[in-house]
Parts: sequence; C-alpha cells; structure tokens
Amino acid sequence: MKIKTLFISNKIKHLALLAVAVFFFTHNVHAVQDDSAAESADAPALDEELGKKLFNNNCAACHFPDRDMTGPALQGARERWIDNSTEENFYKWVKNSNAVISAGDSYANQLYKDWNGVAMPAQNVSDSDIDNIFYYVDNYETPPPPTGTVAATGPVVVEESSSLYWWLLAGLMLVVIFVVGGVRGNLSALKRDQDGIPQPEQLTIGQSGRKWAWENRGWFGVTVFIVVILLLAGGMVKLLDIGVYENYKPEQPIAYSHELHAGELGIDCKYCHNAVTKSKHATIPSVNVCMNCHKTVAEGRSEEGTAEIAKIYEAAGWDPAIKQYTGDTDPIKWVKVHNLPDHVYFNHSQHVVAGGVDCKQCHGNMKKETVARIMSTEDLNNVGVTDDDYDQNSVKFTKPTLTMGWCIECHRESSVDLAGAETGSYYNVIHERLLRDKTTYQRYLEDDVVTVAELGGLECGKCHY
Amino acid sequence: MKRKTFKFLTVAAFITTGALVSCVADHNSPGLEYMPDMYRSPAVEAYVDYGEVDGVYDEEAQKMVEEKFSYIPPVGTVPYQGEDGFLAPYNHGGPIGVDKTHGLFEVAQDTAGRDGAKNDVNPIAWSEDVVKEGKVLFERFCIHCHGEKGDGQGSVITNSNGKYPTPGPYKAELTSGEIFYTITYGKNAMGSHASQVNPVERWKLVHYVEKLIGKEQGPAAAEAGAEEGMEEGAAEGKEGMQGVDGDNQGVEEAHEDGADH
Repeated sequence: MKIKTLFISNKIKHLALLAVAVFFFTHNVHAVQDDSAAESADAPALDEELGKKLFNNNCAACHFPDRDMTGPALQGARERWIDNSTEENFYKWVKNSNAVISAGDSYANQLYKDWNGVAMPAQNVSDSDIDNIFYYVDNYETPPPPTGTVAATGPVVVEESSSLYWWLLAGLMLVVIFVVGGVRGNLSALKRDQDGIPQPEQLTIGQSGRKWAWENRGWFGVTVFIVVILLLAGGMVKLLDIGVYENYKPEQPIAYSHELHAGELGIDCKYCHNAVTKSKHATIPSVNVCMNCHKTVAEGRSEEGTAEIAKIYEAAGWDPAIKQYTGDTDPIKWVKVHNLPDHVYFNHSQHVVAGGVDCKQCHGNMKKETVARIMSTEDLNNVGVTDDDYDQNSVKFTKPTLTMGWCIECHRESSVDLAGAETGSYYNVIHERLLRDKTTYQRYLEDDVVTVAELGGLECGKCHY
Repeated sequence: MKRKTFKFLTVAAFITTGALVSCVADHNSPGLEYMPDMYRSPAVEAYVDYGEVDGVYDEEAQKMVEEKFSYIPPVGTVPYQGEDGFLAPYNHGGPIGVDKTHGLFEVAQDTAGRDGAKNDVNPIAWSEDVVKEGKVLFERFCIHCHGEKGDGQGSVITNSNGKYPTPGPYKAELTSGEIFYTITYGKNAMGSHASQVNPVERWKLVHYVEKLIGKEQGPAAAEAGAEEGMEEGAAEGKEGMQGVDGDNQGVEEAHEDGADH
C-alpha cells in the first residue's frame, strides 16, 4: 500500500515536472530570449545522468538534494520559487544570485538573510542545464541505510560483574555454617551435661585449628605446600604483568570507530593523528579535525552513532540548528591508552619520518577496531596474515607490546635505508662513516644490512636520559 | 619454626595475589604504576594525567594543566619551523564570518577574502621532488574526499552512502593563491586545514593540486620561479608572494612552452 502510494506520488511528480518543463519550454519560445532559449528548444528532453554530473560538479559542494547543508535542500526549490516569486527569477537566481538580491526580490532577500548572508556564487550554467539538474534532484531518493551487520559504534557496554553476587552467597553460606555449628556445639554440650560426662576443656579457635592441623599433619602439610607453590607461581606471573598493557582498551568519552573512519571511509591514519610526522606524540586530533567532516555529517550509522556525533558538536560549540559556531566550547577528555614504562623517551616523528616505520608495525590493524586498544603481540604478528587490509609487518614480535624487550627486538631486526638517505641527513652521514668504521662495515658485509642496533640503537642513552 | 614459615608464606602469597588481581580488575585502569618516578615530569608534558600523583588527587595541578593545554597559540605567534621551512606570515585574513562558519575565532577577517589571495604566487619553486612531496601530503590529507584524480570521488564520498557531499572536481580556473587560501581557511563544507598542514606543506600541496588540475608545470615555470626559490623566498617570503607581475609572465611562458611540445 505504502509502496504503491510512493510509486503514484513519484509518477505525479514526474508528470508535474514534465508539465513544468513544457510550460517553461513554451514560455521560453514565446519570450524574446537569448541563445539559451534556442538551446532548450534544441534539447527539451531531460537527462538524469547529465543532471547528476552537473549537480556533482556545480552544486554538490554546498547542496544536498534532500537535506540542508551550507545551502538549502534543492528538492522542491523550483516550486518554492514559483510560490514565492517567479520561475524566471529562479533561473536568474541560479545563474547569478546577487543580481536577484539587488533587484529587490523579497524572496531572494529573505533567502539570503535566512542562510546567514552567505551568497551563492554565480553559476555558469544554461537553462537546460538547470532543468537537467533539477530533474535529477527531484528524482533523487535518499539511499536506504546499509543493510548487513553494522559494527557496534555505541559505547562499549561493560558487563556487570557477577562476582559480587557470589561473594554475597558465600558470606551467607558461612553464616549458615557458623550458626549450625554453634547450635550443634550447644546441643552436644547440653547432652554431655545431661549424661554427666565432664565438659572438655575450652579451646580458642586458633588452638583447636592448630590441634586439628597437628592431628592431620601429613595431609595438611602436603596441601599447604602445594597451595603455597601455586600461589607463588601465580604471584610471579602477575608480577611479570606489571607494566604490560596489552589489550588495554579504556572507555573513551566518545565511542569513536576506527573501523568506520579508517576502514570503510579510507581516511589515512595521519589525517587525524597528523602531528606524528612532526612531534613526539602522534596526538589525538583536536575537535576541529572532526568538524572538517562532521560539520556536514550529523547522522551516524545508528542512533548511538548520531548521539556520539552530537558530543562532537557540544565540544566544538557548533549549533546544528542554526549551522553556526557559537564559541561555547568544551574540551573532550580523551583517555591516554599507550602508556610507556617510566623513564623512557619515545619520539613518533623520529620513527615515522627518519625510520620510515608503518603505523601498523606497532599499532596493528586499526581498521578492525573501535576505540584505541594496545594490540597484543599476536595481533601485531597477524597483520596481513588474518586480514588483507595491509601487507605483513616486516618485524615479528615475541615479547609483549610496549615493553623494553619488544622495542629491542625491533631495533635488532629492522634495517636502515642508508643508500636512500638524503644528502646531509643523519643516515647519510652514517653512510659515509661506514667506510671508515671497520666494525660496522664488517657487520654490514656479513648480512648486507645495517640494523638499528648496529648504529647504536641498543645504547641505554638512546631511550633513557 | 617450620609451621611459622608455612603460615607466613601462605598469608604473604594470599595478600600479594589478592593485591595484584585487584589492580587489574578495572578495565579502565592501566594497572599498577610500579615505583612511579618520572611518569609526571615536572616540566608539563602533553597527554599525562597530572591530577593523580602518588594516589593523591591534586586538583591544582590538574586545573593548571587543563587550562594551559591544547589551546591555539596567541595571535601573532610566529611558528618556528626549522631553518628550511620558514615562510613570512600569511597576510590575508579569512573571509568575513569565518568564525561563525568555520569556527576560526582568533583569526583576522578580511573583506577582500579569497579575491585578495588570488594573485599570490607559490614561494616554493616547482621541482619534481616538491611535486612528489605534495603527492604524499595529498594522499594523506586530501585524497579521501577529493579522490585520487582530484575529481571529488574519494573513498569518503563513495562509501558514505550519500551522507557526505562531493566536493566536485577541482575547477580549472583556480589560482595557486586561491588553493592555498582554501586550505588555510576552508570553504563551505570543507574545514580549515591550517592546523594539519603547515604553510610549507600547503604550498607543496598547491603544486600537486595544480598538477591534478592539469596546469602546465615544468622546468620553464621552475626557472621563472627560481629567483624566489625556497631559501630566498624564506628570507623574503612577502616579496616572493607578491612578486606577481614577473611570475605570472613566467607561468604564461610555461603555458606556451607546453603547447609547443
């Protein structure tokens, strides 16, 4: 039923459009007109493809067919002009909006005012071009949201810990055991009293415990021994985990999805983390970088996504209703994820620019991730193996991510491109020095590569100072 | 004696394990800081939580950092970009209303706007290498919207299901000055990219965008611009940018040369 009405309304739309076109055609023929009239007389047939091309080339930077952007939605624009002004002015407006405004047309002035006084630049199009554009625009249908699975863009849902209930239950059981035990003790004391047997001497809990342990000392000793060994081993493993942050993925104030932005939309890592080539930090992008796109994109893939984008607007002080910045900003407090051990200096630009290291070597395949996570060694080694987004990493790791062993592994294995180094650069100097430095030269001859380690990449002072 | 050792070990092991396990139970916590010393350097560093020091929450420190952190440098600050990257300050303000439309609140506005920048000449001389560098930058900062060929069909446009508008192909009549101006202050849906690419990178991008537009570039154009090469343009960036007449001729010559070949 609904679909039917849609079809019918579409048909009516087409008919109306055709009628308008015919009206316009006759109108033009009768009017004393320039060559654009001749053009439209030659080509009255409307071409949706051509219209699309013209729309994309001339209008799409500021107008959507179906919703407002820098300028208003174009669907129904012709009708609005006919209702509020004349169709003649509509064509004039597209070609040179300033002329219509200064001619004093009230609708034109109203439009100019409503859209914050941003004038539409004059467009170099003919009347038939405009007809084609609006034929495309009026037939444009908003594409349906993509079907299929949409990765969760919403906030990371934290599973409620169930251990609390178990503790409560255990506590309850303990109480029951003590109560039953107490009642039983009282009852047997009463019975002994009745039977005339003398009461055994009262022992404290500690004393009775020790007595029990002494009486069962064989089993007790073995059990305690095993438990202690297990706890020590477990404790040791846990101690080794101190400072290992693998899979650390804290909640972020905005549930950003790398999967969508870097994966689906193909935005380069360095577009947002742009200081990576210039600074010690790769930097979390400031909110103006988000707004480069999100000024226009207010809707996410899901309702949660739209809510997340609204948080950007709040931070940037952008009012989507009036499409203006208000200046009322509120910084986003992102949570730092990649914490290095204490007393370590690490510089991103040095690794990315001079070393030419890919982001994925240390950060893995972020095209499959939501918010940032410290990849495990396995994840890093699987880049390019379990996915085809990237080539394989040149260095495979065995040590946990972001530990010193991990850094050292890479420094030992990765080679330096000395031959390709620019004249006067650090590596170029090293290249020349190679001829005089016999030890390094000998090592180079052995395997044909100069590794970071051979250039002093294992010196303590390289990273700790 | 033996029993005492047992007891001690058991209790110690329980406490250690318990403490360690409880440290990592919160998935939002990065875990135990083992003997923290320089995690919070007295010289304020970016991306460090100064609020919590040795388990004590220091509101003063946090406030101080929050207030001084991640802000635009004051107006008039001249960035130091190293000896080879210095350009004179850009002396065209943004278009009127750029604070409302693009959020550039601390930027001077100029009634001449884009037209004022139209005749600016690229202070970085053309060379194959510069274009190559421009290409790298283009692939990092522009390609996902403007597309590989500059036709406005980047991956963001084609994969966003009509949510993002196409910027359209680059217009042939764009001058270098206009391209630079657009990158600096943004235009319509495009935001200002001044925070992402510095002026030197922007001029390199201009070279590559002009190549995509199909403007004639080559040794002849480079020759004309050689007088205002990088180093000299660095010292006299202002003159370099406004040395309009001579340079325009150079470009025209290049056009003719190109036609001949």
